[in-house]
Amino acid sequence: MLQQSLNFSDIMTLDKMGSRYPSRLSFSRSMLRRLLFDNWKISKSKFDLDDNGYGTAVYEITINQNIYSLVCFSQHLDNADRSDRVIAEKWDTAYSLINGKLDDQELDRLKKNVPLQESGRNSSKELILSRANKSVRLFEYVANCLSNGLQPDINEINKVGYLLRTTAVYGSGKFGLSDFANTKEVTDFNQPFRAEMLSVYIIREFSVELVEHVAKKQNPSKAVKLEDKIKQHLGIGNSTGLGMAPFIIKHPKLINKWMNQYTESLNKIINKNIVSEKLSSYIQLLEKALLYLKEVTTFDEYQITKNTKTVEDLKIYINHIIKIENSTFNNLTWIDLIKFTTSNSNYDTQEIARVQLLELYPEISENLAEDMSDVEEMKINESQTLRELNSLIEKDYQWALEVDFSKKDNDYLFWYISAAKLEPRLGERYNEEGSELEQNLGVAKMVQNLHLIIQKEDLDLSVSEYLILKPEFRGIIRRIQSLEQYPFAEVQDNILSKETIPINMLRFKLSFFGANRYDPKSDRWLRVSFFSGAPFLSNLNEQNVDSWGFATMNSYN
Amino acid sequence: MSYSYYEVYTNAQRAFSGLGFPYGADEDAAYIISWLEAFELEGIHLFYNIQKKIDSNFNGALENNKLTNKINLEKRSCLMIGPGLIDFLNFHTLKNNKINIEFQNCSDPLFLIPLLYRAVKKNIFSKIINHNKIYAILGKNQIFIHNDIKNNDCANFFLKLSTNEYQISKEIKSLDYNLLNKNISNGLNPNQSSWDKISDLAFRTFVPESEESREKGAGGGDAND
Repeated sequence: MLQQSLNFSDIMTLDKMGSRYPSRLSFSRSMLRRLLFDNWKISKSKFDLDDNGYGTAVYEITINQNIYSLVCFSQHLDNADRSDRVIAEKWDTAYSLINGKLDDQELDRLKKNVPLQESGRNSSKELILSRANKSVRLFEYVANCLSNGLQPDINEINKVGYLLRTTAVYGSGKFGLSDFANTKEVTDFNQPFRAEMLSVYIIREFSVELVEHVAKKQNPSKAVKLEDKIKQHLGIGNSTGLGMAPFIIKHPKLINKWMNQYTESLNKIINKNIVSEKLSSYIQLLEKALLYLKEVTTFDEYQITKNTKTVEDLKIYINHIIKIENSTFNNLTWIDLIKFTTSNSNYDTQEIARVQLLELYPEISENLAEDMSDVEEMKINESQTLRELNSLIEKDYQWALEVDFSKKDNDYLFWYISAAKLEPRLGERYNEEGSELEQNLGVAKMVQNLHLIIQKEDLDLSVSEYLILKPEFRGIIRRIQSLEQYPFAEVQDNILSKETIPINMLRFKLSFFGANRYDPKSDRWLRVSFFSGAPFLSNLNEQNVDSWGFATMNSYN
Repeated sequence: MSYSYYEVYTNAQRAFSGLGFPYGADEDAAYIISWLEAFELEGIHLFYNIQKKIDSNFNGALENNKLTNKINLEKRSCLMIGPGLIDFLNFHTLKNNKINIEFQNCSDPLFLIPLLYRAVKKNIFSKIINHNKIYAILGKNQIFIHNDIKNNDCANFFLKLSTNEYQISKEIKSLDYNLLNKNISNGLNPNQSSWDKISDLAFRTFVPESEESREKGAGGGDAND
C-alpha cells in the first residue's frame, strides 16, 4: 500500500512554533516515566521550617545507588520585592540540586549562596539552581482553608494553577554549575533538562508540604491536608521571558533533534490502519483536550482569541471523527484523519490532533524520548566551493532570501543583553539606542547578506580559500554548512521583523519542556504551569504516570 | 574560584565580541581560550595579556589565498588569523595527504594548538618542529607541547600536517586528552585577576540600563499575584 506522509516543511515557522502543545516526548513526561520505572527513591531528610514556613528542607533522591539532594530555602519576602523579572534580587524560596548527600558544611555553603541566585557561586557538584515566588493569593487562600479544616475550591485552584512559581531554573554550567557534558557523563541525568524537570517536580512537592505545614502551625487542632483530587490539579508555575528565544537560535542541532523525534514518532504512526478501540480512545483524548481549553484561564486577548478558535475547530474535528466512527473506517489510516485538520483547522488544533495521536502508541515515542540530545558542534567544511555553498543557501534558506530588508519593518527589532543582570531584551532599532550591540540572531539577514556578496566572488573558490580572505563570514558560513542535514534546525522566519511575536519561540521550547496553561503577560513573557495534573510521589503508579496530559478539574474523580 | 567550561567560553566569546571580533571569529577565539584553560595552559591569563594589542584591531585576513611553503604572520595574533589559516591548511592536507609550511614571525603559536586539536577529529595530525627540535605533536589520544610553545617563545617553525599520525616518543612527557574531561568535571580555575579584566571586556557587549529598556525591553508589566 502506498505510504502517505505529512508535510513538515513549514513546521518551523513562528506561527506553527507558537501553536505547539506538550506531548509524550516532553521532558517532564519522560522524566516522570524514568522516576517510576527506574525506581527512583525520593525521601525528605530535613524539614526544618518555622511557624511561618521559613527555613530549610532537603529531599534526597536515590537513583541506581547514586544520591542527589534537592535543598530548599524558604524566607520572608516583602510584597514589594516580589518580581518575576530576571532583575529581581530576592525570592520567597530558592533551590539547588546537588550531586551527592549533603553534610552540614555543604549545607552551610549552599545557604550562603543559593538564596543569592545569580550573585552567589556554585561548584560543579551543583547541577541545578532555581528560585520560586509564592502566588500569594492562592497560597494564603489554601493555607486558610486547610487551617480551618476545609478543602479549597478546585475552581479557585484552577484560576491560578500553582502555589509557587519558578522564575528561573538554571543548569548546564550557568553560574559555576556542572556543565551538561559533565552532568550527562557522571550523573543519571543523561537527557537534556532531565535534572531541571526533576527539580521542578520536587519543588511542586515542596510547595504542597509548605502550605500544609503553614496551615498546621496556624491551627494545629483543626488543620487538614489537601485531598489528592484537589492537590493533583496544582502544578508548579513558571514565568518565562525572552531568554528562551536566543537559546533556540544558538542550539539549532538540539532543536532539530527534538523536532526530528517528534516527526519520526508521527511518521511511524500515521500509516497504521485505524482500529475501533484506538479510535474511541482518540476521541476521548481529544474531548479531554477540548475540556482543558475551556477550563484554562488567561486575560490575554491574543491567547483568548487563539483558544476560542481552537475550541471551535477542535469541536469540528471531533464531530468529523465521530461520523467516521459511526460509519466504516476499514481502509482508513490515521493520516486520513490528520489531513482533515491540515485543511480545516487552525495550527493549535492541528497540533492537538497530532500530540494526542502519539498517546495511542506509547511504544513508538518511548525510546525516542530517551534520545533527545545531539552533538552540537558546528564545523567548517573547508573543501566546499562557493558555488556549492550558494546552491545550499538557495535550497535551504529560500525563506530568508525572500525577506525584503530594504523595508524598515523587516529590520525593525534587535535582540540584546541588558547590563542589568544580563536580562535578555528586545529593542526597536530606529527608536532605541544599543542596536550596535545586538546579538547575532538575525539569521535571515546574515544569510541574505552573504548570498548577495558571494554572487560577486569567484564561485570556484573553496570555502577555506574564501574565509582566509573574508573571516567576517566564518560564523554564518559555519552555520549554513553545519545545518545542511538538519531540516528543523532553523526558525524559518525573520525574527527581526516588526511583526515578530517573540512568545511563539518561548511556547515552542516550553512545549518540549511539557509546560501547559499558556498565559501570556505581553508579547515577550508569559506564565505557564508544569506538572499540572501529574500524580504526586505518594500516588504515582503505572496507570497514572502518563495519563495527565491536558488535565482538567474532573480528571481525578 | 572555580568556573564551568560554559562560563569560560561564554565570557571569552563576549569579550572577543567586545574587542571587535566579528561573528564566528569571536567563537573560534573563545574556543581557543577555553581549550587552553581546560588543559591548564592559562588561556584566560594569556587572553588578558594580549587584549590591548587586539582591541578594536581585528585583522584576521590574509591577502593571498594560494598555498605557499612559507607564511609570514608579521606578529599578528593567531587568535585572529589562526582559525582561517588552519582551515585553509586542513583543506590542502586533505587534498595532498601531507603538507609542510614554514611559519615566520608567529607571536603566539600556542593559540594554534587548540585548532590543531580540532583538526585531529578530522584525522589531520600535526607536528611543529624547527632544527630537529620538536615543539608539538598532536596525535589521536595524546598531545605533546614543548615549554617554548607554552611560553609562546618560538616565532619561527615548520608546521607539518598529515593524514597519518605522528608518533610521540615514549621518553617525551605528553598530555592525555582526558585532562579536558577531568577539568570540565571539577571546574576550571582561571587566574582571577585576569578573569575580572576579561569580564570587563565582556561587559562592553551589554546594552546599558535605561528606564525605557527596563520598561519595554523584556515586555513590561509584572503582575504580582
